[in-house]
Amino acid sequence: MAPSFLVNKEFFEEIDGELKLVGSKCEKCGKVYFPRKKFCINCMNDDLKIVPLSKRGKIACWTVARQTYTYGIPVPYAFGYVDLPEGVRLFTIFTDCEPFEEKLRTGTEVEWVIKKYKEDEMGNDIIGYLFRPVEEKK
Amino acid sequence: MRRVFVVGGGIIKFGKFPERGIRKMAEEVLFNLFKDAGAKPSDVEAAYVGSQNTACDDTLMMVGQIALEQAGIVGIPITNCTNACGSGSNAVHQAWLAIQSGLYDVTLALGIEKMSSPLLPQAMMAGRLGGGDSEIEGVFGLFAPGIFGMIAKRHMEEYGTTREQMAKVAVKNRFHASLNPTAQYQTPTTIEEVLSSRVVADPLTVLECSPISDGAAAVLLASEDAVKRFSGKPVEIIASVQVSGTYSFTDILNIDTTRRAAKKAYEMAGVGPEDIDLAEVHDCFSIAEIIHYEELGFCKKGEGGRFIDSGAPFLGGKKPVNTSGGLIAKGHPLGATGVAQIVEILYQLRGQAGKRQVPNARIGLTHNGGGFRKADTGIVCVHILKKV
Repeated sequence: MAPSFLVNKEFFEEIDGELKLVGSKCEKCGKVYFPRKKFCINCMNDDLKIVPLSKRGKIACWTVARQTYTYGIPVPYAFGYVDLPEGVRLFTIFTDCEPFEEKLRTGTEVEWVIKKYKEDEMGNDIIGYLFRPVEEKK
Repeated sequence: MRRVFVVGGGIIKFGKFPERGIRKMAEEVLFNLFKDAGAKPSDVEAAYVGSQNTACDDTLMMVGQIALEQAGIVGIPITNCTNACGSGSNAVHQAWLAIQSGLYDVTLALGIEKMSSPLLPQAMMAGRLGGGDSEIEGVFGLFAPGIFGMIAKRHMEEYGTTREQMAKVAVKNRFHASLNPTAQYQTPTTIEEVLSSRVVADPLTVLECSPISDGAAAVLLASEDAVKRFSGKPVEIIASVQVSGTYSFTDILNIDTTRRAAKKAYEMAGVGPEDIDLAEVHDCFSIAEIIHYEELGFCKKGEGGRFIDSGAPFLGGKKPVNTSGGLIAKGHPLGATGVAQIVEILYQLRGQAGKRQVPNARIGLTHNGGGFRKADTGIVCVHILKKV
C-alpha cells in the first residue's frame, strides 16, 4: 500500500479517536474560521478553540473540470464552494456525485468526508476533505 | 490633485515565442516606448515593473532590474509588482501614485511576462497556482477556467444568459484582434466554432479562454510640468484606482471588487459609465467580459448577455469593448496585460489605432483584475484616460 499523507495538517484534528475537518472558534464573538487562525480578527482574542466544522452545508456554486490542471486528480471531476451554517465557505471537490448534472445543483445539501482524492508525483496517496450529496430519505 | 499624463506607449507582438526571453522582449518594447514618447532611458526617475513571473520554468528574481538594464535604465528606484493577472495595472497605479505624490515627474510602468516554455506543460504550471491560493484551494484542483466556469453556470441559472451570448465575446474579440497587428490570434472565428471547440471547464470551451502568451507593454508617465519635455502626444489619467477582495462570502456573481473600483474611479474622474467611449476590460474568459459590463455600469446587473446581443461592445457599436482583441485574442501575458490595456486606450485617444480606430474617442477606461480566492477577486485596478 502506498504511504498516505494529509494534504494539509491544519485542516484536520483527531477528536475522540476520529479524524475531523476542523476550524477555530472565538468563544467571545462566536466567529468560526477555516482554515484555523491564531487570533480572532474581530476581538483580538488569541485563545481560539479548535472545533469540528458542521457536517452538512450547501453548494454555493460548482462546475466540472474536463482538462487536467492539477497533478494526480483524474478528470472529469466536480468542484465548487460549499457554505456551512457557521458562516464558513470552503473550496472542495465533490465525490459520489455522478451523473453530475443530476446530483449537483446550487443549494444542494452536501456533507464532508475525509478520504484520498489524488496521488502526488511520488505515488503517495493524498488525503483531503471532499463533499458528497446527502442521500434524500424516501 | 497633481495631474498625471501618459506621454508614450510601447507594445510588442504577443504570442508563444519560446526562444525569446525577458531581455529580448524588454529591449524591443522599451525601444518602441522611447520612440513613441520622444524620450530616452535617462529621463526615467522611477520604474514599476508588473510581472507575475511564476508561470515559467526559468523564474527570475529582480525581473524589473534585469529587463530595464537591457535598455539602460539603471540606478533609479525599481519596484517589482507581483499581483497575479493584475500585476501590470498595479505597476501603472504605482507609477501614477509616484507622480501624484509629488516625489517624481517622470515614471515608467513596464508589464512583462514569459509564459511559453519548450520544456514544461503550461497548463500544469498554471494549474499549480490554482486561483492564486495554492495552499488552500489550488491543492484541491481549482484552476482559472474552473473559476469562471462556476460563474458562467450561476449566470445562466440566475439570469438566463446563453452559451451563444458568451461565445459572441470570443467572436467579437477575435474580430477586433484581426485588426491589431500585435495580437496573438488574428484569425476571426464563429459562434459555431467557439461552441464546438474542446470544453475545459463546464461550460467554457478553449476558444473562450485567454491563452498562454509571452509579451510586454510599457508606458511613460509625466507630471504636467514634465509633459513638454517629450514629443509624444499626451493623454491624461483622470482616475487610477486599486482595490483588493473582501472575501465576504457573497454570491460568486457579485464581483464586488470591480464594482468598488469602478465607483471610486468614476468619482475621481468626475464621469459616469455613460461618458466612457471605449473600454479595455479583463476578458480572461468569455463570461468575465459579460459580468464586468454589469459591474462597470455599462448595463444593468444580469443584462450582460443582452448587452452583447445589442452590438454595443463591437467596433462600430455605442461602447466598443476590447478593440485590441482583449485577453482572449490579443493574448494574456499576465503581467503585461494591464499595461497593454493602457497602451491601447492611449493609441485610441490619440487617433493612432489604425483599422480598429474608434472615431472621436475622448474618454477610455481600463479594467484589469487578478487572483481569485474564497470566491472573490484578489486585485482590481480601474484607470480612466482622457484626451487633452
